[in-house]
Order: sequence, then structure tokens, then C-alpha cells
Amino acid sequence: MIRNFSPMNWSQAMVEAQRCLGCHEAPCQQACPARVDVPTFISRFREENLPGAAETIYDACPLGAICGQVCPTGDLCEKACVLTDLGQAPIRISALQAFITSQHQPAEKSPVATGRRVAVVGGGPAGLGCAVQLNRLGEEVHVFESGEESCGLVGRVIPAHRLPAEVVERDLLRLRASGVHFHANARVDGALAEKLAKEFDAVFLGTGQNGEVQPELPMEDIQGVHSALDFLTRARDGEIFSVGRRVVVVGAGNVAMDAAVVARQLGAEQVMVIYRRGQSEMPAWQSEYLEACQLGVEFRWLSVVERVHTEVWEGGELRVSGIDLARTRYSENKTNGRRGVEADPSQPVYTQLCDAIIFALGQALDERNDGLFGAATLKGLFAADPTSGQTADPRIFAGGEAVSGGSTVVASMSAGMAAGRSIHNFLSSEGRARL
Amino acid sequence: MSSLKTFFCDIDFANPFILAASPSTDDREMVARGFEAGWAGAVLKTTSHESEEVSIAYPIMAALGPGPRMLGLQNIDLLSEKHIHEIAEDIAWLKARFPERRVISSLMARTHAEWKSLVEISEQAGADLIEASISCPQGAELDEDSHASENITPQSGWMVSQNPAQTERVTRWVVQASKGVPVYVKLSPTVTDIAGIGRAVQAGGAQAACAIDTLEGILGINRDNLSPLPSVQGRGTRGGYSGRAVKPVALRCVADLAGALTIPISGVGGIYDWRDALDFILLGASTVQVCTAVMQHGFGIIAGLTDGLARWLDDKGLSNPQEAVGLALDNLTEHDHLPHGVKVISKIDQELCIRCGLCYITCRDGGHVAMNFSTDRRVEVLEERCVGCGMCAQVCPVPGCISIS
Repeated sequence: MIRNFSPMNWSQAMVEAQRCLGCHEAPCQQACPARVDVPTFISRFREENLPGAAETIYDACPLGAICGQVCPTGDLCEKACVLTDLGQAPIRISALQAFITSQHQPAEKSPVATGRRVAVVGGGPAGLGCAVQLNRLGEEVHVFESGEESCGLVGRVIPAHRLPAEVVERDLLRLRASGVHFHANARVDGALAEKLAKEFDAVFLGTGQNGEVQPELPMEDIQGVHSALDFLTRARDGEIFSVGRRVVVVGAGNVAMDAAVVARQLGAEQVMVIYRRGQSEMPAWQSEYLEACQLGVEFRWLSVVERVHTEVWEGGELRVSGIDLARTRYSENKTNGRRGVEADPSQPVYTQLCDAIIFALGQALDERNDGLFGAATLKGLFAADPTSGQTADPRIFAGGEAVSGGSTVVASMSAGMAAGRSIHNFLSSEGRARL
Repeated sequence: MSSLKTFFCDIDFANPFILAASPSTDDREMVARGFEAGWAGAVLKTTSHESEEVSIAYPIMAALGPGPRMLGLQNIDLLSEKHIHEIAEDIAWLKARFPERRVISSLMARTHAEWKSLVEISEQAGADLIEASISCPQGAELDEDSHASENITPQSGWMVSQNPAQTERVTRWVVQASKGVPVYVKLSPTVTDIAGIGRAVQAGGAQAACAIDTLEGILGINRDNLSPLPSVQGRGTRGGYSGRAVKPVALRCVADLAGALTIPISGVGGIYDWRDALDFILLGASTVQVCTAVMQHGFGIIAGLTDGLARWLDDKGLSNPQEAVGLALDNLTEHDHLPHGVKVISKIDQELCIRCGLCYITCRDGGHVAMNFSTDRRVEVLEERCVGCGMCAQVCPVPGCISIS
């Protein structure tokens, strides 16, 4: 289903809220990684109890405004809405959440302090989720963010049309006032890590996946070649305002869809997404894929870039001029439980002219975080218990994309919250003790 | 198709549908449009003697569940601001243009002399019927002399139709003032025994009774200025409550009157479509009046009313609405006489079910805990526990999904 991004006003929200049936053990809530009690927040709003509605959202989802904007609800809560079985459109849950959170931001409640301190490394959804949860449980929380501003990749990479800066700010403002201590421009590396290990009772690693899988083709110093995260960050910051007439995006995850959409918005006439597997194995959410389709993005399935053509411009600048595309086919070999893919020699290789290539091959743990606090990594991810987030060192926890790999804001935040509860339980049972 | 022609007080109506006294009937051009749309008659907005001061404070409307599926409507409207002579001109104007449509003059007065004068002027103007409005909860008080003579203390909300003796006396005044035009009396549901009031109307000589007028109510409170609704600059008052929500009360009143009286009844209260109208007819109403639904949806609803009723009559092999009047009364009985002991249970059409679980909630917390809700969201009726109360069928959002048999 194609997401309707248009924001609601009060009248529209009220009419929409009237449609909710208030299901028993509501499927929408069960489909939500944060278990937001959708029927309750809708009924609070319908009863003109806006603070009650907003608190219901923020209790389960401390990034309520952000999630209302970026959650792939067409694949989650809204997909589960029973009204579709009556031939009706599902309740526009994300639009309702976005409206309610825009109208009221309840303060976080600060309980009695335990006297313990927890360091949270990374201020993305996982780190923020963990920090809020710990703060609610009375732990003193310090969030260390490598960049200027919290919210990790979410705040930097997601295109502004999908996540306006003021929405991010709305959630962050609440959290800054919550009692959580934020430390900007504080990259946690050897020296600082050692200091934190001494001064804090536990550490949560929510470092996310700032790294990117790099293409195997040699293309250093070629103009017009971008990595998707860098492209999206610079486009959002207004540093890129033109991307060429014809753009190729390699990869078919959500980041690739965002890159393709932003390329169209920057004026590209033809945007082509290349993916080595078939459409059914595309990692992007259906809603993101359909949004890209709606904007005229083209797709070449079972295709790989075999060669990048360049041309020398005035001044000796080497620029992308095209790519050679080869076809692939599925093979018998399985890798990671998936069908293997191999070159299909029966299909001809063909050349596609283009002015830019954006590689969106997937994200990985930032190499600099490898081995942080002695946490073991496996295939670029921290090894941690999937439920508690505890690593081999019982005082070191990890969660979010740094553990699970590519995910959603809401899932990373929820993983952080779960880890926050684990940390609190662990520290409570252990009694206060230094690392 | 069946004819919808109906007789009421020996006067023929093109169909049983009459516009009730309301803002919809306070302007002759509007009434003319109603007639053109197909309404058989119109009760003009209740008028009074020139000595009556009518000062309306706006706004006058507030709804329960406002919007397209409004549940009920509260008004603090008063009588027509046009007095009897002006209304008489409207009556004559309408009768000249629509001789086949029935124009009913609705009257309210405080003294015998006023009643007499209002009836005479209406009759001279050509009114087909007189409606004695002694039941409107707003501004209804007899004059001081009347109270004194009857030993009644005037108070807010008091109305003639709450007292059988007063009702009979006023009815007689109105009937005696008429030189031949039939008189009916409109009754309030806000009484202990409406049949007793109906008997007083019949004893007073009226040709028919009409029920119900609005229920006296207070719609709600504005949570900011604490004013009752509708709020007139921060203050509110008791008003008349109408619309869908009052229909069951109206039906019960009509059935009570039908069981007690020999004169015909005009039914009114919460009629929105032909099915509502038919309920009134089946419980003994010869004509029906519509107000709130017309105010909300316009005169055009008459097309659905006549079409639906005519088809139903056809389907049942009845040649006109009069043959349907009171047909359900025989099935209306006292609780003791219901067929007790017949086991019925709830049946869910699993094909239609959308797995919302609303039936499960009501059965668990408002029924007999006779349903299972499985992990795949399927609801199963536990036949040995189900008593067939029927609550599940009432909350189900899917028409036709749950039946009780």
C-alpha cells in the first residue's frame, strides 16, 4: 500500500480516530515492535484526552514523533488492521501518531535514583531507547554521541521529506529534558572507553551501523560515484543539489530506495535500481519500494554492475559515464540460508549510460568500533544475547543495528529499551559494583 | 406498487409522511419546497397570540454525537417568532398553491380566550388540521390565573400535558373553538402514564393524538466555561431532545396510546428512514411526522421514505399503509407472556468475521463468558455456556456476521 505522507489536521485525525474498532488484543499493537497500545491512544484522543493519548504513545515509544513519521506502518501495524477485511482502508495509525505527538509531548517521569551510572555509547534509536528506559528505572544515564547531535543515522540520513528536522527535534527536546546526560562530539575509543569502564556500572553499545559495505570494483577518485549514506547525508545537509541526468542505484534495501527517491528529487530524469536478486528477495519495505515506483524509479532485477565506464573531463577529472550490466541467475548453492546467485553467461552484458552511481550495498559496524570494550564481533556485528543484549562481559550490553544488522527505528529503539531493562535488572541483582 | 394514500382524522393524505413543527416549517417557501419534494403535509412551526413575547437566544442547537450519524439533537428553540396573523397568511398562501397538501396549524396559548382566537384564525385561513401543542418543554407555562384556579405551582419544565385534568380542559377549549376543522393534541413523553394523558385528550373531544414531543434534557456541559449546551454566552438551559436516540421512547408511547385509545395517532420521534416510519405504523400510528432527520438531511429524504414503505407494503401484499397500522401490536406483550425456556445461541459466520474480538470482550465482561478467543484470533461460541443474550450481535461491526437462533 502506498503511504499517504500528508500530515493530518485535528478534524481529519478525529474522523480517522472514529473509525477504529478497538479490537481485542489488537493486531496493530501486536504487529508493532514497540507494542504501542494503538487502540488505547486512539480512544484517548477520540475522548479529547490528548495528554493521555500522547503518554500512551511515548510510554511504549520514546521516539513517538519520529516513528509516527518513518515507521513502515504499511508493513507493520496498518497491515494488521482488521478493517481491511471489511474492504476498508486501514486506520492511518502513523498519521494519527504523528499528529498527536505534534500536539503534545509529555514529560518523562524521573523516579528515585538508584545511585548507579550507566554509559550509553551511541545516540541513535537503540541508544536513546536504552537511555530512556534506564532513566525511567532510576539509573543515571550518560549518552556519548560521536557527532554533534543525537539520533544517529536517523537524523542525518533519512531524507527531509520523510523525516523533517523539526520532528527529530521534537523527540530529542523531550529526552534532553528527561534527566539523561548527553555528551556530543564524544567518540568513544580506547582512552574514553577506558575511562567509562572505570566510572560507570554498565555500558550499552548502541553504535549502529555507520559503516557501509564497499563495492568490490575499483573506483576511487571517480567523480559521480557515491556511497548511499554519504550521499543522503550530504543531500539532507544541502551540500548536493544536483546528481546528474541518469542515476544508477546499486542495491535494493530501504537506504537504496531513499537514495533513488532523493536522486529523483534532485532532478535526475532516469533513476535505475540494480539488484543482484529478484524482486521477491528485495530487502526494502514494500511501502518504500512502492513510493520509489510512484516517483518513476526503474528496477533491473537479477543484475549486477560488471564494469564502470569513465571519461576524462576538462581539467583531467575522471567521471562516470556508464556501466556494464550483467545478468545473474539463482544457483543451487545456498549462502546464509538464501539461494545463491551466480553470473548468467547465457545473457548478454549490456551498457547503460549514466552520470552517477550510488552504492547502497548495506551497512556494517563502523570498523572503528570493532572490539570496543572487548566485545566480540561476528561478521561486523556485536555478539550479544538477542533478548537481554548482554555480551560475554556481563557489564557490557549491546543492541540495535550493531547487533541485529539492518533494521527499523522502532525495532532498534525497542531493542535498546529491552537492553535497558536487562541492565537495570542485572545491576539490581548484582548490587552496585564497578567494572 | 401499493398506494401510499392515507386517511387521518378523515382527511386524505398523499402519503403518511408529514413535516413536524420545526424550523423546517417556519418559512412558507421552505414548506413549499417540502411539498414539491413529496411531503403530504406540514405542521407549521408552533405559533402563538400576538401578546406572547418570543425571544430566542442563539445558538439553539447542540447534538449528541454530532456529524453524519448524529445520535440525538438538543434544541432550546422556542415558538415561531411569527405570530398567528402572519402564520395565517402563510396558511392561506400555501393552501392556494398546494390545495392537495395538508397544512396543519400548530398552536400554543396560555388562556382560554387565546386558544379560541388562535383556532378561529387558523380555521379561517384554511388550515386542514389544528395541532394543540401542550407538550413542548420550552417556555410552557399557563398564566398565573390558570395556575391559581387549578392549584398548580408554575415551575420550569412544567407543561399542560403532564396533568390529565389540565390536558382535558385545554383540549376541550380547542375542540370547542373549532367550527369543523379536526383537532389533535401533541403529547410529551415526560409523563408517568402517557395512556392516561391520551385518555384525557380523547375525553376532551380531540379527533386524534400525536406523540411524542421532545424529551426534556440537558445535552452536556462545555468543559471550558462549564455552561450547559448549547452554550449561550456561557449559560445554558433545559431543552428539547430529539432524533435517533428518542425513537424507542416514542415507539413505546405510541404503542401505549394505541392500546388505550380509539382515536388515531400520529407518530413522531427519531424517524430517519422508512424502516423507522414503518415501526411507528406497525405499532399503531396512522401518519408519521419527521423533524430532526429533515433538519439534518433535507426535504429530499421523503423519496426514500415513500419508496421504501411502498415496496415493503407491496412485498407483504398490503394495498395501503392503513392496512399496516397496528399490525405488530398483537405481538407486543408483557414479559410474563413471552415464550420462556426456548434455548437460543449465538452463531458467528466465520467467513464474514474480521477477527476484531469485540464480541469476545462483551461476552466476557457483559455476557456469560461463553466465547473463546484463539491465538489465531478466531472466536468460538461455547454452546453450553451461551444463553443467547444477543449482546455479541449488537457490538459486531460486520452486518450479518453474528445471529442468534
